[in-house]
Amino acid sequence: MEIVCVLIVVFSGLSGVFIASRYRERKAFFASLYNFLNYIKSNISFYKTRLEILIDNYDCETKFKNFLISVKNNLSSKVKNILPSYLTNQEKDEFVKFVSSLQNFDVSETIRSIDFYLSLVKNKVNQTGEEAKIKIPLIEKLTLGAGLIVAIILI
Amino acid sequence: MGIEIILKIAGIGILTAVISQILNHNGKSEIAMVATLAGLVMVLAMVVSMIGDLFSSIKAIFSL
Repeated sequence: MEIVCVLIVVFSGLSGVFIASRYRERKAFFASLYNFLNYIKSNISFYKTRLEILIDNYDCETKFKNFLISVKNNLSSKVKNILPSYLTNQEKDEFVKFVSSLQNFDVSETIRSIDFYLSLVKNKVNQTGEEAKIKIPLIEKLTLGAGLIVAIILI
Repeated sequence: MGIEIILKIAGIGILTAVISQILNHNGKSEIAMVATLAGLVMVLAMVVSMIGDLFSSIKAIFSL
């Protein structure tokens, strides 16, 4: 019975970490996207570099880099399918709209489009930061507390 | 049961708190949570039988 109780606490604690990782990933994604948008904005305005080359040269964490490469490879097809599952449908639609605008407009329109999307992403960075600050400790403590209560009942 | 168990729990608590603080300050809150959980599980493994005994004693005292 002791081992079962310990396993319940371990399982509940780890499940809390797993559930909360969604909020961590959202926060990290929007922060990386914000940095990337600033990078492409300055490079497109000053050097008029192509998006594919910008993605190849951009230096960031591996996960986001892989995401950018998959976006680059799917520019012509459906981008929505490769977007992470922790994004809402509205966020996915905004991203798809933004990516399609990059391919269709000239430089000045592209800059305007990036500026608009940058303001949206900045709001999302603040929003996900607040969300992570409140919800991550709450979820972790709640699941661990639930596991401890079940373990005490079983003892 | 002696003072040793209390000292052990206190030691694990202090160690876990230090590790957790260091990891949190380095932005690795996820690993900090896992470290805290590991400390909790270690302490729980030590005291779970004692808690069982405590509940049995309470039942015996109140004839439940």
